[in-house]
Amino acid sequence: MFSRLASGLRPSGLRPIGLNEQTRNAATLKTLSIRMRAIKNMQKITKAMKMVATAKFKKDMRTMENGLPFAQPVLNLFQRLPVEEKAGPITYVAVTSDKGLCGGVNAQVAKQVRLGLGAEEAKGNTAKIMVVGGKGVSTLKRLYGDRFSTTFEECSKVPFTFAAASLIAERIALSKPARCKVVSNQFKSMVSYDTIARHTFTVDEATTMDRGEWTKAMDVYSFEPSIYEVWQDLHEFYYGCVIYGSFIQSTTTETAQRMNAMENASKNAGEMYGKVELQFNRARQAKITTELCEIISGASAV
Amino acid sequence: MWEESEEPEYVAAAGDRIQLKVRSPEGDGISVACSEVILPSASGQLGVLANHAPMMSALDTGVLRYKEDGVWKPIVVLGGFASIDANSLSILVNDFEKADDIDAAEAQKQLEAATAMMEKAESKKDKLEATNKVKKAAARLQAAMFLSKK
Repeated sequence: MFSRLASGLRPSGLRPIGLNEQTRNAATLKTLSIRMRAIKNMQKITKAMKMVATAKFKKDMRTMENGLPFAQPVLNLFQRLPVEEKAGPITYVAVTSDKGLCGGVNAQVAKQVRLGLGAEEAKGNTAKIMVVGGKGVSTLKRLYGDRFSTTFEECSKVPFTFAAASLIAERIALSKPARCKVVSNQFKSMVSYDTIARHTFTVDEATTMDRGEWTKAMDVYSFEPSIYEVWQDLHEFYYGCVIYGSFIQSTTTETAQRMNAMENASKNAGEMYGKVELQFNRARQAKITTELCEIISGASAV
Repeated sequence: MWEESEEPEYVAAAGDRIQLKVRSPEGDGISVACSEVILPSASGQLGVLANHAPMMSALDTGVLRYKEDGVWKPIVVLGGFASIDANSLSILVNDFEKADDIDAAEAQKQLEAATAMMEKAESKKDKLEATNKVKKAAARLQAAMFLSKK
């Protein structure tokens, strides 16, 4: 565009500038100024989104700090049980977000689910997927739509409470999975997170586990009334804690990544604006030069 | 010469050896040192003293009482789990309420309303919900009465 302008500008004597080029100049200026305005608006939006994400992040961080000490003890308890590699149907629970523009969090979760599913099905095990969050549904539906069993969407519309986690956990428990893996993002810091597929003990596994191993892990505690009566409740509580812990960490990660993404977007928009501004100024100066040439050539003709 | 020393982390009275932590999903609740705790477990009232063997128990909706500095204090807990290990008692509950905030008269009214609802309840789900409300209201009233007696 610039080179075209330059070729039209060569003031070789009294070459008059054609009408087309003049309008092209004006049109170019107008186009460029529209672009600049659009970029400025985009930058305002991304800046605003970043501020909103920052505020939400503080809240999510607090929820996470309050909620993790609640969920962690039972998770630690179940960690004592040995993980036995068994064959059989497996349920993957993917924890994703409802909204996008949050960096690669959902893509990472989907990738882990894909990898896991591929490995399991290569071994000959049937796999089912349960998805929490609209983004996971849309990402995984294309390839694995037939393996969906339940999806939970719009979970972030209301503040996520343990009751909501219990609802999800209940659904998982009702489906009586033989094996279960929960894929979610673990919050490490504002810039980094880990995507892990956490092996979640199912009631099936607990009951068919080697009795010796199980008592060895659980014998440290004596259970009141008796372990068999408490176990069902404890296991459901465990499912709830797993979901609650995964979800609050996932939400915090999503908000932090959205902050980063919007910050980068604002920065990029700023750079783009600078480049277009330079173009605009060059075009403006070219137009002025053209007009000057016109005047000079007109005056010298007289 | 050996000196026997108490090691209170904060102003805990000598003899308050159990570290009681009540936690709900919304945030840390209470962290106190006490000498004795009575839990409303699913199978009845359970007393816990210092140096109790490691134990895990399911809790029903009810009043948890702990003895701090020789004084019994109540808390309303709404069901969960309790685990004790090495003098550290962790209570994980869906929700809890400190007894000081409960008004006895209001709790009494709530109990009556809940009982009436329970008698009217038709479906199993309604009955279950109503029973839970009654338990909660009864626990709150019990806690309020406990405090007012002191």
